[in-house]
Amino acid sequence: MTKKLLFSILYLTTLLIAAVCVPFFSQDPTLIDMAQLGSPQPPSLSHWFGLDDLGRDIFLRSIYGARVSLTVAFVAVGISLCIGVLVGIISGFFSGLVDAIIMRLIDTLMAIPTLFLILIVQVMLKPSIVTVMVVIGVSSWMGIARLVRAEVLSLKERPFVSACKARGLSQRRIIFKHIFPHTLNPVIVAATLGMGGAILLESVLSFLGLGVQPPHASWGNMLENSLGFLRDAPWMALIPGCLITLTVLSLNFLGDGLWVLIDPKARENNVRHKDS
Amino acid sequence: MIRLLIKRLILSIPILIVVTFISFAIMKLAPGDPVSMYLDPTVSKQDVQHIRDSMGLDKTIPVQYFLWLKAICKGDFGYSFVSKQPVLEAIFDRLPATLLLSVSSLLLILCITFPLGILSAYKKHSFFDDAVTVLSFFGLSIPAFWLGLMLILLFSLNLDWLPSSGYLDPLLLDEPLYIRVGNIAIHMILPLMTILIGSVAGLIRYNRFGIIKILNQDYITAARARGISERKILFKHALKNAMLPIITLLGLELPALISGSYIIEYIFAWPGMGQLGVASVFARDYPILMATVLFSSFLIVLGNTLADIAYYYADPRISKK
Repeated sequence: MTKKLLFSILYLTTLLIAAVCVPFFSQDPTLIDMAQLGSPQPPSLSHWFGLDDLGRDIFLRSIYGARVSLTVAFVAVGISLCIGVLVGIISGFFSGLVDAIIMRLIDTLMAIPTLFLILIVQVMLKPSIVTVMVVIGVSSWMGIARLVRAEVLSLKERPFVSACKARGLSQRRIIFKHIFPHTLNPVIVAATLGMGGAILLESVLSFLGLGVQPPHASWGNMLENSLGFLRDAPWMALIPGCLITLTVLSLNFLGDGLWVLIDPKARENNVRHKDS
Repeated sequence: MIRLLIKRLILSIPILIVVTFISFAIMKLAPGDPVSMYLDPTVSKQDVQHIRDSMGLDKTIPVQYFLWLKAICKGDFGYSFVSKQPVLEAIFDRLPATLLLSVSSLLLILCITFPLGILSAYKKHSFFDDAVTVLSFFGLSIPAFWLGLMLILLFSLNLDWLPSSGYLDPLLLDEPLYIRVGNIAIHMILPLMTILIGSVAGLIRYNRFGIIKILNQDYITAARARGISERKILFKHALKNAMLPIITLLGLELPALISGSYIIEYIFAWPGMGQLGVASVFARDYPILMATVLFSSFLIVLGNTLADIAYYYADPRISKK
């Protein structure tokens, strides 16, 4: 387990540093090299990942793509965390009718093929980085809400909450100062796994042309771009796909590792679903 | 049994109602005027008003919703903007291909996850188990559409073993049945592989944990103490209980499976509902879109109900209550 965790942390840190620092060291990744136009070049010493059909350096674009994909993942997960935690706490703490309604609503939302709805929403809005983040965030909070609710339900019965109540603390204070911090551990794990899901979803959307729009590079739209060159320039499709897989894999390893560290018992229920 | 079925059906009504809300909202929020598809310069203003009235667009939104719901209950989903074909007909044309792909992938998923999950659990922490774990992590992390592309690249473009897209070779339409079935089966290999690699992963892990948990229980130790063979313990005593959560999980997995197969159908040009749906997203063919959302939600609800019923049969503790 530790080996996987170490690999993920190393890989993700490198990717993050590269993504953050790349604008200080390099030229514009959208720059088109007229001399190389039309013929993708295979990986070579001067261009590690080769050149794409517009003569753009794929290595550079991959790192800029990482910037976009990671930003989308962070913000989308942030949004879904805000919604999910709030809904989960409300549902768990106030139980009764509120809880019943919220849980039925979540059941319903989970029975709808969200990916398809996202596609429709993206077509109706003008697809851009911002809409991608919002749409992914708004459509993926249900799992987190369920998780937080379950946590709150069990926390609520603990003596320290009764003690808070006995001291006459306000409900808001009990919820946010005393209960909320205890839900953080599983939420962090869920957020890590959620980031993987967000990256996958972003790549699907951009691949279909409904996500991040060119000339901005994202792993998904690099793959879309590679479609016409699948036979002649397979590296254009291979590289972004491998990056997505490696990144999501690392996030999954990281989430799994954190889970074990935080709660060895929770491993029993350690199952996740793939959304896309 | 019948009570359970009725209860399930009642529970699924609100879900379906919310789904119709969402579909209706999509249609209403969609940019553009639905009347405009009937327009050309020769249409007079009066006729436009007439068309508008006949489509019920002069009524209030709630009234429109109920009229629309009524039409849907009668099976009238309107006409496709693009092909002008009745929507229901277009969907039913596509349903067999989708069902073929999803049912066979579901069956194969079961056939693969059980043996691998059991073996993985039985040989916990062995090389085999570690390999399965790492591979299933890969399966969870690979974007399905990219995996499909890579399979096309390998098996169709480089090796030229399998067709990259389509359903049935149009040249074979007049051939005898077995040739056509064989041709469809060959076309199905790559999409199936793509779906399987993605979905099997999570289920194997779940299965593994389930069986490990069961193998640690007292009744297994008791069975061992009675000298029952390991094989019998594994397949007769442990498997039965491990199947229960898998049934529920399959029900939960359905939305992901259906959503996922949209993209996969699209990549492999598999003429199913998903491909129709994704194509109509691009064509902004809203009547088809709404119907696709409705139908796939309906399939999901149906799948969940079936899972519940299967659970009821598989677990005598529930049926005795």
